[in-house]
Amino acid sequence: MEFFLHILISGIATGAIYSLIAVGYSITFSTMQILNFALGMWVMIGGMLTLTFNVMFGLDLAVTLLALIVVMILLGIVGERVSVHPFFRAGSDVWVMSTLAVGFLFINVAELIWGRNPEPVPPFFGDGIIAVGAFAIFPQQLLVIVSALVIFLALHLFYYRTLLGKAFRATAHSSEVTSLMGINTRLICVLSYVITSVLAGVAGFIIVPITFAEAQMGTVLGLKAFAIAIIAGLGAPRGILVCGIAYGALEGLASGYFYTGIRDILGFSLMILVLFLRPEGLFGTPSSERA
Amino acid sequence: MLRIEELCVGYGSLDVIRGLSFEVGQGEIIALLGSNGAGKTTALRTIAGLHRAASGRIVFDEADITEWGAARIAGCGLRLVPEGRQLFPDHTVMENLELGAYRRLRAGGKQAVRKDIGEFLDLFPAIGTLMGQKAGLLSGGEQQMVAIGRAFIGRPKLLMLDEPSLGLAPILVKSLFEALRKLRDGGMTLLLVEQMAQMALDICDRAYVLEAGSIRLSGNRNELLDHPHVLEAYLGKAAG
Ligand SMILES: Nc1ncnc2c1ncn2[C@@H]1O[C@H](COP(=O)(O)OP(=O)(O)OP(=O)(O)O)[C@@H](O)[C@H]1O
Ligand SMILES: [Mg+2]
Repeated sequence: MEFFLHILISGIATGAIYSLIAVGYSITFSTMQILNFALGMWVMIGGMLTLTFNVMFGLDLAVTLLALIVVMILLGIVGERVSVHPFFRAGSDVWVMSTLAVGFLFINVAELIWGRNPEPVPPFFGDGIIAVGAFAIFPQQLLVIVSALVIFLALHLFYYRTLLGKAFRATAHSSEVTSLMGINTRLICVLSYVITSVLAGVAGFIIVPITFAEAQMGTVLGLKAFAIAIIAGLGAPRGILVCGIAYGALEGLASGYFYTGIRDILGFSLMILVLFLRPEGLFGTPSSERA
Repeated sequence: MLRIEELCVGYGSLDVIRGLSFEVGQGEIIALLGSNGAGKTTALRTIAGLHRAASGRIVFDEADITEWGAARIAGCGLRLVPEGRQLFPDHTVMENLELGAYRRLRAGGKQAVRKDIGEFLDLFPAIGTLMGQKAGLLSGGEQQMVAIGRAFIGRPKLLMLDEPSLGLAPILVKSLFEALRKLRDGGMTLLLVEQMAQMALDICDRAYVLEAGSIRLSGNRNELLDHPHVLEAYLGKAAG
């Protein structure tokens, strides 16, 4: 029972991270119909910045987070400008390659700056364990789960309660009609890219004590998150949260009880299965039902 | 207020608008008539900044807006209610109106916007009970009223409407046009594209007839109501 709970909880924590990255794909997909395919590498940059600011410069966590967010905003603006905007025309899909190219550039630069060896980042609340009966969890895992829930709630409030968020949803429906309202849809597209970038950076920040800081720390995460975004449906943020957590739990249990190699096969097999049975995703709206 | 000079617009190699010129003066209701495929929608979309003109000039309030983007044009007081309403179906009616007033709300004009929403509801009382409803669930007529409200709430100087009567019962069209007249009386200038020539001619001050991408006829409403070509081609009556 203890073993079961343990792997379930760490699975859920991993799943929360998948959701956080996966929702990034959905944000730019709804406003611009493009994805930042290299989102995993942006997560890695978040981890590396945490290593730099927190461990190397000795800044405290709040300052580290703040500085990281500023850097991710700037990177988001530049990234959109160089890898999306020039190719953002109907019919052009060069952005698939150009966003990936930025990701590989990130990996190379990271290896140049920080080397190839995984560097440890201490857990934010020490390495004790919180235990209640058979239920035990590392504080860092708890932080991961709580942060993901808070961020999803904040995103939901943003989309449904703020004027800007409503304009995001309007742009997702029709950028043309939204611009007829006098709303600068170009700005909304850049903002959506920047939000995605910041979310990836924050994901890197909260998981780096678990994964260690290294240039490849985000690559597989990004791919799995992509699989989850497809499984849930790119237009369904809440579905992404549910699928991410369910997927993380399933993956944890499968690799705990069977063998670890199954982890990486599982996601992509599921993705292909869902694409085959329900191309719009488990929580997506089929395009024929769209108004 | 709005002046179109020798406008040409096409899709690829297909020329749709060929040397279109017309004018809309402050406080007028202008009707733009034309049969299917004459290029009315293309003309309005180009004026609203959704299409690039191949040549010619669009002048609004003494500013050359030919190269401007749609958001900037809407922001300076020239609004289009697009063909087929185009509400945001997953937003509530209230949210659709808020988005229409986006710039004013951003600028802190919440009180004034609320007052204008009240004014809009006076004009279309049927919408009053539907404010929390998703716009995609409204009937066609209700959607058209909200589409007009969404543009009206941005307080445009000139409102362009692309076939507001499309798909509405005659009785609804009548009250819709009544509301348009009231908007004009409130100081708004209107450019109205219509297939329902009779209705449009009844409320307009002047009208233009668009055929094959340029103006074939123009005049004030009485001139056009008596014109043999209009009688025959648009009002379905024998000339003379
Ligand atoms: N996106 C497009 N691509 C290519 N051709 C188009 C496009 N939109 C319109 N056209 C063509 O341009 C011409 C004018 O179309 P437009 O929609 O402007 O006419 P309209 O006067 O508004 O007609 P209706 O009364 O039916 O709405 C038509 O021949 C149409 O086939
Ligand atoms: Mg038309």
